[in-house]
Amino acid sequence: MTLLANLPEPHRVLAAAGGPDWLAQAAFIGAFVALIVILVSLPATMLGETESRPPLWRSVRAWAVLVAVVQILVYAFWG
Amino acid sequence: MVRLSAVDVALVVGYLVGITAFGVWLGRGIRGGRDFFLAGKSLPWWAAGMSLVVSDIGAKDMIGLAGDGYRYGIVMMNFDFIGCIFPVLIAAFLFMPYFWLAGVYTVPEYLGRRYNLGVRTFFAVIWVLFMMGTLGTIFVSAAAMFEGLLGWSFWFSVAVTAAVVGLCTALGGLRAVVFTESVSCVVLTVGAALICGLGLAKAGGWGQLKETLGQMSWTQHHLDLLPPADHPVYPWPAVLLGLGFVLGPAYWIGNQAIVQRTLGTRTQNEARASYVFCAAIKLVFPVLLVLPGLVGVALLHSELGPPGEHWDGNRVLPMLVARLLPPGVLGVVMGAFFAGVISNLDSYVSSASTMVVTDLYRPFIRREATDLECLQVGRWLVVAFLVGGVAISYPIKRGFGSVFEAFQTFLSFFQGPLLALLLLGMLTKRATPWGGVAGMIVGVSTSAVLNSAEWLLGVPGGVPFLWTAWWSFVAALAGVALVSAFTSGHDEERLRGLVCWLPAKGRNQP
Repeated sequence: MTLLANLPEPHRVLAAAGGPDWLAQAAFIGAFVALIVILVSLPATMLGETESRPPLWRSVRAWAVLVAVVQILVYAFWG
Repeated sequence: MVRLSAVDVALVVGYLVGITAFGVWLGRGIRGGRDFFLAGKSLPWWAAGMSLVVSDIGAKDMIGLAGDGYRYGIVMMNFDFIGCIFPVLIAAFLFMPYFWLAGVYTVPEYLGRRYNLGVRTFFAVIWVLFMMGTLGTIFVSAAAMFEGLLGWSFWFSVAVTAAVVGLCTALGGLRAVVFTESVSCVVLTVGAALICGLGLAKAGGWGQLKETLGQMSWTQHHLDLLPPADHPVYPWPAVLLGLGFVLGPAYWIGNQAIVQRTLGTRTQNEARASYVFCAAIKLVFPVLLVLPGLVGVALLHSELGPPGEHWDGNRVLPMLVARLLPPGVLGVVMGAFFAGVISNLDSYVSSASTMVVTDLYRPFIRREATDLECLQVGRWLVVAFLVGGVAISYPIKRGFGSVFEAFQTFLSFFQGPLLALLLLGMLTKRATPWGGVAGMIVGVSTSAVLNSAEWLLGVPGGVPFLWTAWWSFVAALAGVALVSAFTSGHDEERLRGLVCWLPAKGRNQP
């Protein structure tokens, strides 16, 4: 029991590796950037856009990217 | 007790009567289980999106987040930002369209088709138990508000709430739930915005509020959105990994009360659009829900003081409401509270009924049940769940805090493993039925061990729940992957429409 308690727990190692504050901001922004990359690179066939691409204002993908961009701005200014 | 004027009482009662009549009216033309459980696949994206928002946010969230905003500051907004918007956008494109295309009624039904009946039944039973407990806690929240605001007794408050929800849900099914929730979404937004606007004005505006927060020692970090890595409750790596990558996605992808309205949309593109619309609305809600907490610091700190061990955060919002809102406006805000309560209740009642009929009644009790029979059973189950919720509400009232936390802890045992099974099941055809069973067992065992880490492993203070979610997810992923490597899976034809790289033949319309 004591041995287990003294072992470095994985989450504490991760927390210790948390590093400076800018790293937190970079990680959160990075998550949304990665999300945008995934959204943009999804094949049109997966979204049922095979015949014709919808105008931008009717594209669910474009709206999703816009929401993600707003989140990046939120974390960039208030993170 | 808040003193409501005649105008306020009229607004609240009018709202309750109006929403009930609207729900009953929407129930016309229900002819079978598909109409009742999935609204006949006729829901527009905007209604499903608004419904998603209020299925998630109830009165207890409004009160709880204001208290947490007072205690911790804007870090609480992460629950709606990285904990909601991020997973909702992922779910919109990678999960919901495939649930929709698979033509399933419930998430466990998907798991059953993808893995086996054991996995399906396990998660169905877990969710039904959780929903039953949640119903009891929502009844208690509703009764507390009615009791405090209108002076009604506990049982009378519970009976009125059950009658409103029962009439709407048993007669109107998912269609009534979604459209009444759309109305609730508007009322909730207006009510929350009024509290924020009037509160901010009273606090002297944003500049003055920032100055006030900067003057107190315990609110120095209240305007930091990202907590430090050594934060005792919300270290940022745990927020990102546990909340953003596990609990958020598990909730938005695996919670039947959330997913069901999307399965009732007209096309898979509308299923996607409903989630994106929900994410767009959710950009505003963190501000609406957490800002009252900051306003509370500015206006009430001399009375409430810095949060200590026995400090009660649930007092912040009711105190603000009582002091800030003039007659008439108070009625609208009260309407918003009730909208939140009713939306939460009807979501859970409707989903629990759908899950019991789809995942337990049909597979185990009457395999040959007709659609009409399922409709009738579904309606009776709505009544049964409400009666059950009412019955357990009193014991929950007696030990509210501990019971509610017990339900939350109970659910957190299963969120990580559920997400792992859904993720691997949808993204790869290599995940096998035995892999699913192994992942479920390994993941839930990991959760149980980490949740008991304080006395089992001697970890001082235990493991934060966000880390428990993350590591149980990782363990379940490993369990599925390892056992799948040595066991055989379903053939490709069976997996069509269940794995995103294998579209169903003839069913890939947008």
